[in-house]
Amino acid sequence: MRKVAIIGVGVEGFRPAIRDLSYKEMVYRAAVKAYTNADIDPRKEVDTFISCEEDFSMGTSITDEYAPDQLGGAQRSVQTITGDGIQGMAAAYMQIATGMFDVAVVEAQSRISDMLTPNQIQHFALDPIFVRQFNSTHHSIAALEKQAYQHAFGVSDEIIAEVAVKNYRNAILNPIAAYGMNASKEDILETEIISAPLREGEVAEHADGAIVVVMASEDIIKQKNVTPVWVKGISYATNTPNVETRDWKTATYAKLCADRAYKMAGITDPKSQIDLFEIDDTYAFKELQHLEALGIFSFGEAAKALADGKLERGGDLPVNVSGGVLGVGNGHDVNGLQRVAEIVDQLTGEAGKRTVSGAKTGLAFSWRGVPTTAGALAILSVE
Amino acid sequence: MLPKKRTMTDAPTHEVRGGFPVHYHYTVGIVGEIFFNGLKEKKLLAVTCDECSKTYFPPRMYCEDCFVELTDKEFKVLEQEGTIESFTKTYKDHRGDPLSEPYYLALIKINGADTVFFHKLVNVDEPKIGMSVKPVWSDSPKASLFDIIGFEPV
Ligand SMILES: [Zn+2]
Repeated sequence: MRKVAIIGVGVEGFRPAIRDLSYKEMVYRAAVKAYTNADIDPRKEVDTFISCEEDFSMGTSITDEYAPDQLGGAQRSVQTITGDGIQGMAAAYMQIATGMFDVAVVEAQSRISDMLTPNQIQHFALDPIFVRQFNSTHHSIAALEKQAYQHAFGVSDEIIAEVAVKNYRNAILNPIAAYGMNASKEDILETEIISAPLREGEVAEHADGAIVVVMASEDIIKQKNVTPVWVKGISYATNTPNVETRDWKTATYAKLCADRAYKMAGITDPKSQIDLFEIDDTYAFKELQHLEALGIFSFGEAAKALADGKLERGGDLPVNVSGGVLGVGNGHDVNGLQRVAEIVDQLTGEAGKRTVSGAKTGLAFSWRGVPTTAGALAILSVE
Repeated sequence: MLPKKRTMTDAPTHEVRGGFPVHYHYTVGIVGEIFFNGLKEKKLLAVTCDECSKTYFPPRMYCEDCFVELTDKEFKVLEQEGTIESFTKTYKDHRGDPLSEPYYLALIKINGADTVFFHKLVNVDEPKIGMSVKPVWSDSPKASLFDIIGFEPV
């Protein structure tokens, strides 16, 4: 199988609400940046395009029909994946590694500000027979999980608030982040309760934006003046989606992703072999729960590492230097590519003041949000 | 408070409104019929997989671990008591608007079941994980999830 790398990334956004560009214009802008970085002409050199989006999010039935032209993909092989951008990258990886295609483009976007009823759309994702009949916010599912996690491993609201403090602060230095800010633990703990023990300050606010990623085979890379970021491992997994049978304390889907991707990438000791982590933190407690499921810490220990400063940009195990989903803004299916974009910036020397010195390998992990138990993971490296 | 509420950073020049009504009637299924008819008789019906011994409440047509059919198994009546596995006091409705009366939702493991049941807690001030609870039944059950008004402390 051929080696596969990312050769260019383009980002438009993220902003709390993009009201000047149409969604097509927003994606076009991101695509132009990606193709410039990748030194590639989409009309001549890209073989296939993968768009990650959902009808309800985009506000159009059969929305995949509207995906090609803003990517330069009209009259080409185009597919849509109703999933996270890293799931799209996994499809691109397979298509390139097997020799089917040489160059693939993956796109994901968020236009949540276009939705006038975003909460109802998320509520509509709940099981209609056993869960949705209750008139409750979809966040109550995350609240049940937070409560179970805290109770099982003795993790306090105070330390979970510190996750949000760190990530909002990290976002200040990230030009693509919509929610960079200096907030104190007290600020977070004083925000409104949505569904106890979950407060507004620990839930990622929505943002609009688009990310386009160009991936290519090693054969193409030899002909180009680009810095390849190799995809060493990539995986996706779903635990059972049912509330009756899912694991409420630990993020089993993250463990399933890690087991596969670590094996593929030859990772036996993630703590020493991976230099930085971009981990879903749509709800602040998820950062800790995900780190534990990924085998970085044993259960309940991620909170201690955070308290000791190990997860800071200058710490042993920097987590969400980008600001995470909390800091960059929740774009749903584009969240995975937010994580990937940060790792690519870091590994190619484009991270400016956010730079984690000496970083060669990074891990991006995304979760598809309530009510899913679905995750996707990529291990990226310049070595 | 955090300066976190979404704001319209760029004023729109023009926008076009759109939407459509979507409505469904979801079929509860063969085993769903058994479960809901059980509620009408104020019974909690469960089914056990022979291969892994997992007891499903609510019951299922198949075991999701072993992928074997359970429809031909005997549906057993569970006792009307369980424990709280997790709970939340929810303050917002499905639109994200404040609820006039915040209420408790919980995951309840009925004694004898290996799965949890998503429902309300009632008549409780300070729920705790591990607390024993029992169903409070409607006076006129009609094969609905709300034949159980909620679960209250034993
Ligand atoms: Zn079984």
